[in-house]
Amino acid sequence: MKPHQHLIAAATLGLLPLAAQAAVSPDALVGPIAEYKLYVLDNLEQFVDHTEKFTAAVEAGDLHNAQALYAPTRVYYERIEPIAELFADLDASIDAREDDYEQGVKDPDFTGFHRIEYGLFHEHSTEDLNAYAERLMSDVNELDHRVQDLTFPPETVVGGAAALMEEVAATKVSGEEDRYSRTDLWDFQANIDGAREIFTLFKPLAAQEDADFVKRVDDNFDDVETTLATYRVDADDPDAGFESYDEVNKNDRRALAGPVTVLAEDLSTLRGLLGLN
Amino acid sequence: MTHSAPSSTPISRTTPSPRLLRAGLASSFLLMLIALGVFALSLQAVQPPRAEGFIVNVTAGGCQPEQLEVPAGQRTFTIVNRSDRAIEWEIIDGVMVLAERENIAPGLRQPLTASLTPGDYIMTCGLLSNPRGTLHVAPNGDTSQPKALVARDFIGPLAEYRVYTLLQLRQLTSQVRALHDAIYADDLHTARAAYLEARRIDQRLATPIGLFSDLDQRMNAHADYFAQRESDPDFGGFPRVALSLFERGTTTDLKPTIDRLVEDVETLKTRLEDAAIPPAQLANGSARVLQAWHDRQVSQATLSPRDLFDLAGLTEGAGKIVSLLAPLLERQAPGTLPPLNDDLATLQQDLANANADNTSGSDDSRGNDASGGPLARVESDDGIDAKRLLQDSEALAKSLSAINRALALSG
Amino acid sequence: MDRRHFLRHAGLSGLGLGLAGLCPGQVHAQLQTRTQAPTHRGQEVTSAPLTQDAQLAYPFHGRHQQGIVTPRQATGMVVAFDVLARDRDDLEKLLKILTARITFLTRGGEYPQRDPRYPPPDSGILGPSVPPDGLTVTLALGDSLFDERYGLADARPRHLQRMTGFPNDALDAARCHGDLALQFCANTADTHYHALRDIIKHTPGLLMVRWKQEGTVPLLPPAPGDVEGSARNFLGFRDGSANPSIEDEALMDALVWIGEAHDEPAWARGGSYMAVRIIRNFVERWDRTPLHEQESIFGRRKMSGAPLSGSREQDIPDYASDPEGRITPLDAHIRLANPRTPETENNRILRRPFNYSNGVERNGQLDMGLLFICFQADLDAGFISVQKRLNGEPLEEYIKPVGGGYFFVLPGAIDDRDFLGRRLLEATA
Repeated sequence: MKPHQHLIAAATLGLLPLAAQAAVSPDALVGPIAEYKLYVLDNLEQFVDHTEKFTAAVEAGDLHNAQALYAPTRVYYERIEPIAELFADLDASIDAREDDYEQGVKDPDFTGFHRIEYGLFHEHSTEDLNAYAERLMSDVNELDHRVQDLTFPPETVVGGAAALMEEVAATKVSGEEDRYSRTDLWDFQANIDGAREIFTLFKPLAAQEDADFVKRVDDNFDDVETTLATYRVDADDPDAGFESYDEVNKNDRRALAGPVTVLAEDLSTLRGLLGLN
Repeated sequence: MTHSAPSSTPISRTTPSPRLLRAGLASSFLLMLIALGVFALSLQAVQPPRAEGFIVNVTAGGCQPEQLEVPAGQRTFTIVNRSDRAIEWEIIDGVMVLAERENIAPGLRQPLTASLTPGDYIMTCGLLSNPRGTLHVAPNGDTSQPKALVARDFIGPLAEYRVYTLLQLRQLTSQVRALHDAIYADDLHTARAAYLEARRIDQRLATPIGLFSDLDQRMNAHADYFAQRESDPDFGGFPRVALSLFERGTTTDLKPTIDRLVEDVETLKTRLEDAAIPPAQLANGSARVLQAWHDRQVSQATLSPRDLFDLAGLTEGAGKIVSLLAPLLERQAPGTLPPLNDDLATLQQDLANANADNTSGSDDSRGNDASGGPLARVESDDGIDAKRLLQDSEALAKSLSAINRALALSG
Repeated sequence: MDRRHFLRHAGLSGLGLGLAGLCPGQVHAQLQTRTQAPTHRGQEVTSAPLTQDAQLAYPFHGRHQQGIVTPRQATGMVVAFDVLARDRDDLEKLLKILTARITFLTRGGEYPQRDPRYPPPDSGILGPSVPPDGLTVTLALGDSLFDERYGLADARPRHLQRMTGFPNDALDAARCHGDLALQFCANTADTHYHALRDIIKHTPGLLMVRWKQEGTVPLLPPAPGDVEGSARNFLGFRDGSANPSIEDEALMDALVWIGEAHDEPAWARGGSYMAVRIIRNFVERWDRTPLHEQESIFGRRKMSGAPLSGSREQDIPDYASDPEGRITPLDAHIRLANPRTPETENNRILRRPFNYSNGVERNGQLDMGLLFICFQADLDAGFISVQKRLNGEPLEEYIKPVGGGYFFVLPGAIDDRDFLGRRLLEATA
């Protein structure tokens, strides 16, 4: 079997470390995990704040404002998704898509952002959205409440970078997350932000184990962000957000898909690299 | 075991005669007795060879011996107070407190048990101005020490505790600032309110602050531990602020103290950002600070509202730690969790009751926001029945100090 | 072992591809044995069915790639990809990885162990030791790969082009074209699922799947006395009856493989053009069509596969004595596809199709059809000419091409130091 092993090693180009190094002391993970929780708490605070404004606009029947606030509100959720989705009930009621329901848009259980998105961007109306707005606000408050006392599982935090990249690979590259508003690029960037935050927190530890890995991941993050940046409405104002996903040309979709899959592959080894199960 | 003895003989393959059966039973009973004996012996082996362990005499001038050497592992020390005032005794690793015994009355002896890994430690010896002793822990081939849990299991709780600490510290910083500003503005009422807020957070953080003996002394040491008590130039921190604000009813002379406190909180922040709290310190630390509170109050029949307020902060801090360790306890030693939770709940309940009693007894205009609330309670002179709370706090301290053994943690 | 001997051996040992090589007596004996012993000792309902030819391996190295004149395996799958490689270096890396993976996968073997805290190096769906299972993976390039990205434009095979729709086509963009295509063929479908997942795992950032279509070959026993029966398509007809013989190497060199005689870049010699078409069959409607009409549409008898002018599948259709199409209609499928005239001799193609069944259409009708695959040395003279003749055939009422693409099959890799596409890269360096 020797020749095969050689071929694998040659073919994988170092993408597959075969043994966990486990030289990283568990103590060393405490700081970055705590930092990550602070990051999540900061984002949650913003999330609650933005959701208040967004739902107020919906309830006030201010279609224009509600549409404008939709994407900037979601980004805080998309950044912290590895933690937010630990609460399956809230994740479903806050962020499920119509495909998750047998009866699609008509399903009585379909609530949350994407239900409101359907009203705002497909029906072009705030009519009948009050109940969804109220529910969203209470769900977001409940999420905030639950996360405050949550002890973050280390595996979830470290694995969160890969989870976010899987999310990007599954629904953002194809542009099917925000199908009515076409604001997928906001979410795309937010997922990348969240993944990169995790990676950055653990980077010094990962670098001790595999400096090439760290460089490759950073390069691929840079590539993705560079391509995304070309779709910013205003290069000097991050808050201005992104153009519609429909504007993304074929070459750029390809240019995004490449580094995204490598990131998903690479970050799937981060837990092992840091000696976590 | 009872069955394996007879069946291992070829005879037992045929139908055994009653006599053989009796012999088998007898022999298995004998084996059981031997096993019990071995078990008892092994139990004895776990006990320290001498109940009092290593004796440390603390005199008015320091420890005797000043240098002590012990083998690594679970070690018991007996501290004998040969001075004429109450003392505390601590084992310090660098600046972090590993174990301590507070409020040892003159002439009394108190035991203290700690798990020690090889290395050099410092012993405090009574008055803070006394020279410190050294404790050398020698490596020990003994492998019978309890096997520690995997360090990975503590990453989550420790990270969460760090988050808690950092968030509390943010609050502490702003409250101490507010206290500082009120003192500089000579606003006694605002200063008292700010003191209570800050002090409550300080007490919630008693465990991590207690890790740094120098800071802990400057921020929290009581006057009794200083050579010249209240008039000692080193006496500062919260007790010194409280002395002026509540006993003397003034903000004057507090400026240097509050400046120093602001500075110490900053130092604390810096240190905690870099500090790795050993897992064993979570339970031990909170047990220690509760026990210390108990030991200080034990001689008093009633508690002052401020003592009660301190206990509330300590209990909140302990509650956080219990919530962090509960999942691990549930896994490792589920039997220990219900009593621990009960002790915590009892203390919380009795605290709530004491607060309610105190408020209703002292304040006729209860429900009026201006005169109700913590400040009103603390400003009232009513004492509180100490007995229950003393019992509760000691019970919780005991349960907390049993956690590490249940988790097979040392350190 | 020379290639021809090997093929014969493989044909005999392969269950899924061996029907053509088995005499009827052997088939009967096998059937009887099976009826007498339907289960093996210790087998439970969920025990893995036993295969007999899991260790069948086709040698990867050679002048040509496998999967073209290789006897058709029981299952096939075409996967088209967008190439994400950013430059020529990346493209070379990709071609080397693909070569290495195909070498391993078609030979079989074990993956290295990996610390369980990491994702495993293999999907594991074939167990710890991966059998070759008759797997062939054929690498071909689409016209779009020769655009400005990698500087390959000057070396584009002359006939390589983007597939354009024929009159009856209803092409679905999501199931057409691709920078690169892999044709997987194996005895069992799991083997190419495994191979595909292995390749995806090893090529992150280099390849993105664009579309994929799987198919099978029905394991129909030939009728008694029928020696070389072709497998049936989902319209119930034998498909591939008039294929040029793979035993005739000279014919293969003329019709299938690019050689010196073909006006193609030198690097392309040993390669071939692959046309892939996903052709939906309206099977419900077909099943409601009278047999006689079905046979007229094809120009063959349904059960025997014999041309309407003959009695056995192997009979050469006689069109010369039937110029008005009284026996075989002039617009019968086989007559249009291969009129058997001297001037259409060079239009002949090597067909290697699979049947597919994907699921159900919105209208409740079955989404079944033909994963049509053919190989030829000249795409224009081959598939495109044949399809042009077929335009407007009566069969069109029952079929609808919805996807596919044209690809150029790279010449084979000669040995361990070679890799697929090396000569193309060198020719454009």
